[in-house]
Amino acid sequence: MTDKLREEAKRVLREGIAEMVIGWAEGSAEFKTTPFFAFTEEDCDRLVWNTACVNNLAKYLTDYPKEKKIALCVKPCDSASVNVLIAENKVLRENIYVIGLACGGVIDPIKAADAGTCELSDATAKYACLHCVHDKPEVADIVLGEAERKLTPAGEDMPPFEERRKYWEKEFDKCVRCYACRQVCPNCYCEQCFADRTDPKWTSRKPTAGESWMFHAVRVMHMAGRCVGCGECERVCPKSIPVEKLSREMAKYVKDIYDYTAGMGEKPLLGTYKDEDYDAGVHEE
Amino acid sequence: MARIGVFVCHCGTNIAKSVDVERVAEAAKSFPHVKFAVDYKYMCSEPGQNIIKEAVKEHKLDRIVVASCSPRLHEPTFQKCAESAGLNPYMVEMANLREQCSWVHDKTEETTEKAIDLVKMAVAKVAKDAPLTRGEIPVTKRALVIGGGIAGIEAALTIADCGYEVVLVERTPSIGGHMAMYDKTFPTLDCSACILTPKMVDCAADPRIELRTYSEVEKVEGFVGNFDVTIRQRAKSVDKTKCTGCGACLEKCPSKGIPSEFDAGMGTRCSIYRPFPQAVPNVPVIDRETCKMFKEGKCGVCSKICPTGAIDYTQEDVVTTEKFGAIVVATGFDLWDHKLCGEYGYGRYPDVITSLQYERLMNASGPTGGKIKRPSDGKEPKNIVFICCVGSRDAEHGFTYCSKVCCMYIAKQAILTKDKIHDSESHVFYMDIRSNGKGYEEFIGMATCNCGTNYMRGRVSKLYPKGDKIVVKGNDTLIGKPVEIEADLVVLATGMQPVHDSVDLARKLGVSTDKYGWLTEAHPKLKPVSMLTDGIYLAGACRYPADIPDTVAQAAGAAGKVAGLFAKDSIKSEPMIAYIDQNSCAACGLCVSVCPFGAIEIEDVKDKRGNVIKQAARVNEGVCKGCGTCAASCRSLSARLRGFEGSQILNEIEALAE
Repeated sequence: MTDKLREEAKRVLREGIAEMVIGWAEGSAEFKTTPFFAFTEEDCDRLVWNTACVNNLAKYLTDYPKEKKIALCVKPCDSASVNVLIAENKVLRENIYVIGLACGGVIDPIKAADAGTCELSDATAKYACLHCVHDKPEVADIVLGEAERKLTPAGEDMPPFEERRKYWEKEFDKCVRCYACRQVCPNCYCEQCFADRTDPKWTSRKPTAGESWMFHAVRVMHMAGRCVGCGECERVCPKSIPVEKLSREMAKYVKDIYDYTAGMGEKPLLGTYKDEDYDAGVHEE
Repeated sequence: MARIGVFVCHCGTNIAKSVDVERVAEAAKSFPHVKFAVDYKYMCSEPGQNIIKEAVKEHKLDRIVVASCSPRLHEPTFQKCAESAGLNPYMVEMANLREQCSWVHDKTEETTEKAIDLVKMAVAKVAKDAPLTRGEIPVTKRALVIGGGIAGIEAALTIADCGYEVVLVERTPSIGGHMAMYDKTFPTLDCSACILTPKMVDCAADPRIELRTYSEVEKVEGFVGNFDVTIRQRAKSVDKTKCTGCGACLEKCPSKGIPSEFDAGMGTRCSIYRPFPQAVPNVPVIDRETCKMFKEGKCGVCSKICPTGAIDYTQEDVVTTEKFGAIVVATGFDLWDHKLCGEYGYGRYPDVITSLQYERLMNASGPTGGKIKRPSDGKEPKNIVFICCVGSRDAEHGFTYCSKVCCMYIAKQAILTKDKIHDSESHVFYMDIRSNGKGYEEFIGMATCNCGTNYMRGRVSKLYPKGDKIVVKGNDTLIGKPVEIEADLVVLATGMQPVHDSVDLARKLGVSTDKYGWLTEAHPKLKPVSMLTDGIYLAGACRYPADIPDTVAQAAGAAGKVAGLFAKDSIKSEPMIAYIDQNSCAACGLCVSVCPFGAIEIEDVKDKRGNVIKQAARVNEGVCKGCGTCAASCRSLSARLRGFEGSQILNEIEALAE
């Protein structure tokens, strides 16, 4: 598979389809890969595709001007992120060459290190992959390989309603407000985050449970209809706060109420209006 | 440091009956930066306003809170008052103690507590208020009137009379609209054509009015004083500069027998046609759908016969974009499609016709030359049944509203029937007689007493043919007996409904419609001819069913609004509108898609040398109405609303949470 990927990447550069290919390369340790930017055909020989390719590379698209021709390697979840960026005017579809990779799930590097294997299994898989149902990228110019989902789907993981307050208070108390979850998110591209604003100060930077609660609550609201569930936020959290759980709950509401899945629509959820739209705030008893 | 004055209104007993206003004023004195607080019976009255003005002077106040009613009612009053006291009018906040407190709660301790909280929030907000200034927008003194019926004609003539240029756009080949199709008009029985055609001719003759018949509005952009409107002039295939209107082509066209729209299908026309002899402009058009030349590529009879060589088969649609300062929408109505009401048998029985078709049968310019002949066999009908409220006030088949004009035109048609066929009998099935206009009740009296029309209160349950008659079965509810009439002709008083594409037009104009598709006015009582979008006005039956007197009055009203707008060289813009902090805007475009007024666009942001450095949203200040939807949707807090800044809102929340 890696060979096919390298071949395709070389072709893309050779034929001038893109100026660079963003993919993954061997990392500093076993169980790890690193984001890699290939500018020449020789560079392309360092690209890899395996179960350790966890990073959602769509993050890098917003670092470049829209006019730049970029080829991007994506897993199904990453491709949904690309779709969100297209719908939100951040990326021009025609300037992005999407190399899709069929994916049956990737590993969590820490779990894999503990298990001592990169072999994908329920024990080594990235937690978000246990909630994923896709094996092919939604947006892609080419799809390489074939994949089968063999992981056992994880069920409902939000604590029962009565216990949630306690649960999240404990979790948010751990938060050090490093904002890694925000920084790694491909769809968190605001030039100035509300959390960094000082006039007025919507949330203080004090890492107390209350202030962190405010930050995460607003972040999940901002992710309504936009979070594709790639799980990067949860992976990078140094305090292992399961932040993805919040977005997943939000995605469930969005699906139930508006029948919308982030990264699958042509327009952003909040930018569209249908007559039959259900107004949860007004009608819910 | 802010110096705040708080003025608490009793509103007679409206507020004072359930709120202890004196305690509210006393409590206000302890809020931060409040230098003066007082209560008074009517703050909006002249003595009340004087209290404010004197307090501003005496206590050197720089901003005020008025705790009274909804800002929708009296914010402008107190803004003006503040302005005359030397303050910026936008340094005023209102705490709504009436609609949101005293009216909705009983006299309890909590009601006063809530009133105090409301004042506390307003004080917190006003402390963060910043002075705002109104901008100026230039006005293009040229009006667009959409629709060439009596409403459009009247509006165009009035605007032109005030000295401004007007473009009148009409979809059909001639102006005149529905009114041109009528025989006589109620309640005076003047001939419709005699009072309408001179106005049509005036329209054509006035150098300030430009007629664009056979044209449609495609796109509307811009805002009050500065609309950019794209108009498509459909190809008429006749050169209007050469055509003399002699009509030779109409005689010779071989494609005859096409149902005439103007005769409501009662008569026929050919492929090259003008809707009626008095059409303005008097230039025929070729209907390319039915013309042999366009369908089969050979014919050319009209071209050969035309003495001036005016026929031009190669003409193409012309699309132009022009600037206008104001738009009057006068697109009128459609008749309800009564096929939806199967029991009346329309379409199945030739002698069941609509009132508009009957109008054409009575009209001297109609297919029968004004002689009433029934469609099936051309015989003169003696026994005529009129059925009212077909579609109107009928939620099951049509709509719940009353079409307003049917009672009157049925009375008119009954009177005219008696006039034309002396030995005829007219029977009217009605639900209620609605005759609330000047001279209308007397007109109904003329139909019932003088002309002996047989009015029966009740609905018709069934129609069926019997020989060459139509049996009408109904119920006379006043005598409580079933009625059966053998009629020669049945006329259905079909109601009015919005033009079939009124929602499309509303979308183009960026205005709203109600659930039926009627265009919505800005205020049903106080702004009946304005729309919520500034610079767009409406008149006649595009808003709601209207008869001719109402329509003409509304058209003159709309024209007056336009003239009022054009009398100024520039207009003041409201400063409480949105703006974008382009430094932090990420150009995601969410504000663009949620803006109900189309006021936001994404633009390139350039540095001093003209290099594009990024993209960002921009608010068109003339279009923005300050609804704040963009500000609520923006994740990076780049879209903001002047007068409702984050700091103001947060201050309010903090005051409440203290």
